Amino acid sequence: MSQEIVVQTGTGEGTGTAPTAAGVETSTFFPPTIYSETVGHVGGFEIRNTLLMSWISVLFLCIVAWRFSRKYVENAVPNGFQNLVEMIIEGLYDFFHSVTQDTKQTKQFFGVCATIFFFIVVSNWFGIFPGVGPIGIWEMHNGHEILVPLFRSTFSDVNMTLAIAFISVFMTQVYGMMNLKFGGYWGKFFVNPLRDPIGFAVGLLELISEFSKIISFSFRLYGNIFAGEVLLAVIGFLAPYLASIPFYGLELFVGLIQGLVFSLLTLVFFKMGSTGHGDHDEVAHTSDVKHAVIAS
Amino acid sequence: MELISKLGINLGMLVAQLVNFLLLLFILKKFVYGPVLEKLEQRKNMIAKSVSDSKAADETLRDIEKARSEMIEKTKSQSLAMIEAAATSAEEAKNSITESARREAQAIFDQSKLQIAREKEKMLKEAGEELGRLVVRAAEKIIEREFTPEDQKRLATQATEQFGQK
Repeated sequence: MSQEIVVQTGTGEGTGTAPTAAGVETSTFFPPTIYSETVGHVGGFEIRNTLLMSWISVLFLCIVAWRFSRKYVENAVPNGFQNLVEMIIEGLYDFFHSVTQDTKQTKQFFGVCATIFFFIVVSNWFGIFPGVGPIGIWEMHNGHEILVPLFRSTFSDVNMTLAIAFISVFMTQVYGMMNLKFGGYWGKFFVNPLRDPIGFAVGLLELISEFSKIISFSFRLYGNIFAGEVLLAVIGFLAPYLASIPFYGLELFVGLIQGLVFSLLTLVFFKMGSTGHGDHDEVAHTSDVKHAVIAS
Repeated sequence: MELISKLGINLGMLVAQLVNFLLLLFILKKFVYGPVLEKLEQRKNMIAKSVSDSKAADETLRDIEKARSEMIEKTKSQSLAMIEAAATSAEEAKNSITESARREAQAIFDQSKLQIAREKEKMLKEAGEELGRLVVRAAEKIIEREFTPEDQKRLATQATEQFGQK
C-alpha cells in the first residue's frame, strides 16, 4: 500500500518537497493518506494529526465564546463583535425555526445543530490554513522517508466525522423519545406484523435507515473534506503559485456548505424523529427541506 | 474489517472527538446560545411592551382630552346658567327696590298731603275764630250799647257758623 507517487520533473529543482539531498532528479508527491497519521503518544493513547486540529478548533471556539460572553449580559448595547455573533446566532435560529416551525423544538434542537455547524465550519476552514499539511515530521514508512503532517483538516478523518454522526443519530433517538414518548417513538419502527404487514416492513426499513444515516453522515463529510485536501495537494503540486487560489476559495465554500448540510440534515432528522406518523403534513414538509438540502 | 483498519478507525480517537464535541456543546450553550437567545427574547418582549405601552398612553391621552373638553363644556354651560340666574335676580331686586321706593314715596306723599290738609283746616278754623272775635270786637265797639251780652254771643256764634260753612 504505497502512498507515494513519483513524478518526473524537468528541472530537478521543482517544488523541492523531496527529502533527499539536492541532485536527485525526481520530485516526490505525497498525496494525503486516507487515514489520519499518528504524530505522538500520551501514555497508551495515540494522538493523530486530525485530533490535534480538532483541539485547536475547540480551543478557538471556546476563546471566541469566552470573549463574547464577557460583559455580554450587562451590556445593554452589544459591542461590534457581540453584535456579529448575535447576528449569526439569530440568523441560524430563524433559519432552524423555519424548518421546525415550532418554537419549543427549535430551542430544543438549536444547541446540537448549531454546535455541529460551528464546529464543522471552523474545523474545515482551519484545515485549509497555510501550514496545515506542509508542517510535519519526516518518518520512515515502508522503507521510504515521508512527511507526516503535524496538522491535518479535522474532518479528513473518518473517526472525526463518525463521532459527529453518532451524536446526530443518537440525539435523534433521544429527541424522538422526548417528543413522542418511548412507546410512540419506537412504535414507528416496530409494528405488529399480524395487524399491519406493510407497516412492519416499512418500520424495519426505517430502523435500518436510522443506522445507515451514521454511514451517510460520516462519509459525506469525510469524502468532501478529504477530496478537498487531495485537490489542493494536487493543484499545489502542479502549479504552486496563483493557480491554486480559486481552489482555496472553492474549499472555503465547501467547508461552509458541508457544515450547513450536516447541521441542517441533523435538524431535519430531529424534526422527523420528533414527528409522529399521524401528522403526515409535517413529515412531507420536512422531507421537502431535506431534498432541497441534498439537491444543493 | 480491512476497511476499518484502512480508514484508520480507532476507538480512542472516536471517544476523544465525542468528548471534544460535547465540551464544545456545553461551552457554547453556556456562554453563547443561552445568553444570546435569552437576550433576543428579552429584546422582543421589550419591543412588544413599549408598543403596547405607547398604545395605552395614546388611549389615556385621548381619555384625558375627552374629559377635558367635557369639563370645559360643562363649565361653560354652568357659568352661562349662573350669569342668567344672576341677571334674573338682579332684575328682580331692581324691581322690588323700585317698587318699595315708590310705595314709600307714595306713603310720604300721602301723609304730607293729609297733614297739609289738616293744617289748613286748623288754620282756617283758627282764622275763622279769630275773625269772628275780631268782628265781634269791632261790632262791640260800634254797637256796645244796643246789644245785650246774650245777643252778642248769639250773633258771634251765627257768624262763626256761617264762616265755617263757607
